[in-house]
Amino acid sequence: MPVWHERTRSLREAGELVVIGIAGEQHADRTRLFAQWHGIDWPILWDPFNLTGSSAVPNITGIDEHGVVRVVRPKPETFDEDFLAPEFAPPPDSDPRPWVLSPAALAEPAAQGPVAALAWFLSRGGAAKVEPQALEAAMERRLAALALAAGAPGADPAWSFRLGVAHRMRLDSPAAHAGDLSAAVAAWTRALLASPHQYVWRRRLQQFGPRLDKPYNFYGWIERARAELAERGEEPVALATRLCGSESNERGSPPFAEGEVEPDPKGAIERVGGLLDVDATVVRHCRREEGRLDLPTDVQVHVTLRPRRGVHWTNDAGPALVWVDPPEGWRAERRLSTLPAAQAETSDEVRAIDLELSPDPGVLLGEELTGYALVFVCGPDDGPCRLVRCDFSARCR
Amino acid sequence: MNNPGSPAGMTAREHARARRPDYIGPMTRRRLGVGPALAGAVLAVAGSTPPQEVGFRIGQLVPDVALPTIDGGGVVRLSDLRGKRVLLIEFASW
Repeated sequence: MPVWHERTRSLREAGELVVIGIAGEQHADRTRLFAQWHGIDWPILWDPFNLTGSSAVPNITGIDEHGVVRVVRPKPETFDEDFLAPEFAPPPDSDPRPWVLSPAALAEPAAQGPVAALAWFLSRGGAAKVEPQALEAAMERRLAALALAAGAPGADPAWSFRLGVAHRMRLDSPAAHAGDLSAAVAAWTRALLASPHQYVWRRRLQQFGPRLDKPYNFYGWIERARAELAERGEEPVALATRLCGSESNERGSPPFAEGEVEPDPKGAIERVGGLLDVDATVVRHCRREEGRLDLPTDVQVHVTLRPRRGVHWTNDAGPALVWVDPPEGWRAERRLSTLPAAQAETSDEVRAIDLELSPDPGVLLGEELTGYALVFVCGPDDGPCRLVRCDFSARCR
Repeated sequence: MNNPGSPAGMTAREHARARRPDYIGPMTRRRLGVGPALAGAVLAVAGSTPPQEVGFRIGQLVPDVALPTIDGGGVVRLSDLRGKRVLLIEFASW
């Protein structure tokens, strides 16, 4: 893509060519950082739901002045003669093309139905400054519409993919549910199993999956980009959502502490229900999901904690800890993790860690992963502040 | 970033995997005169649930789409670009 940025620079400046990007990525701010790093100044559109239907990227398409597609995946060295020099006749039939997502849908995000739900998420409805309860209800309504479309008999698997994207969007919003990543992974897996050659969908699942499922480091460029931007004297675009360990392909990266000493071996810390939602999501190798049993069996485990309404973290009391007991025959890259806390005295954000589990040789079937979080919380509302234990479990196979 | 040297940014392993009988590769698509985005069966008219196949096919009008910009600064509709030669670059930072 940077190749085309350079190749078209003079053409763009001369007004001979318009370049438009479409980024098929979950997080728009990561594309913004990427564009800033490469000095891209042409418009980039955000297509997290894969509305273009592309099954792999990059895709380069040349469209003439009549709106007709003339070249796909052109070669930079023959681009002028293949696309710019020829005169193209207007098409005989100028019927309007089908809409992928119409401006009308984008303008009416309050409408019902799955298309309106996509429009609402795309218009960053979730970022609107509304009361938390109103935002939660609005998201729930849109997710229900997408779930209905995804679950309809004979539904296009694209709806399952989009449902997963929407769940991931909610996880990154103030209305997050602890189970949103589980829901997203389940929906993406359904979509991929129905359409295994859809590499844009596959990448979304791999993003949160085990390291050996990634053909390369998806976001290894971010630190390099930040460093180079700093050298250029530019402030890098801030990323609203922190990269998890799975996304950055790093093991035991700060601020997580590694450790093997169990913090509550006797279960002495009080278990109090109703304060916190805890979710443990296991993401497997995509090809394992497709039935390839000869491939690595490592899994990525994401643990997500979310205080319920009226409950908040007491950050000055101490860090939250997550302890993991892998099933017999499995090894965890670390068993004790310290969760990063907000700077504020109290907060109620989602906290999450991820770690990788590997089976010993010869272990084919994993069993149940168990674990617990030890957290300092206050509430609900004016309730007491205390250290509580929240247990969780997930299946590794 | 994806592998710029392979078709559609796929790795060599993925490319090999794609060489299955039911896979329509770029060369075949080119011979058939269809674009790489053929696989997309996506939305057509607002409010309708059944998918309608759209895609970027050589010789055909580009399907219209309106999407927000990554900075939230507005919505761009492809059909608004009529009268200009356009290079559409679909990509991802990964």
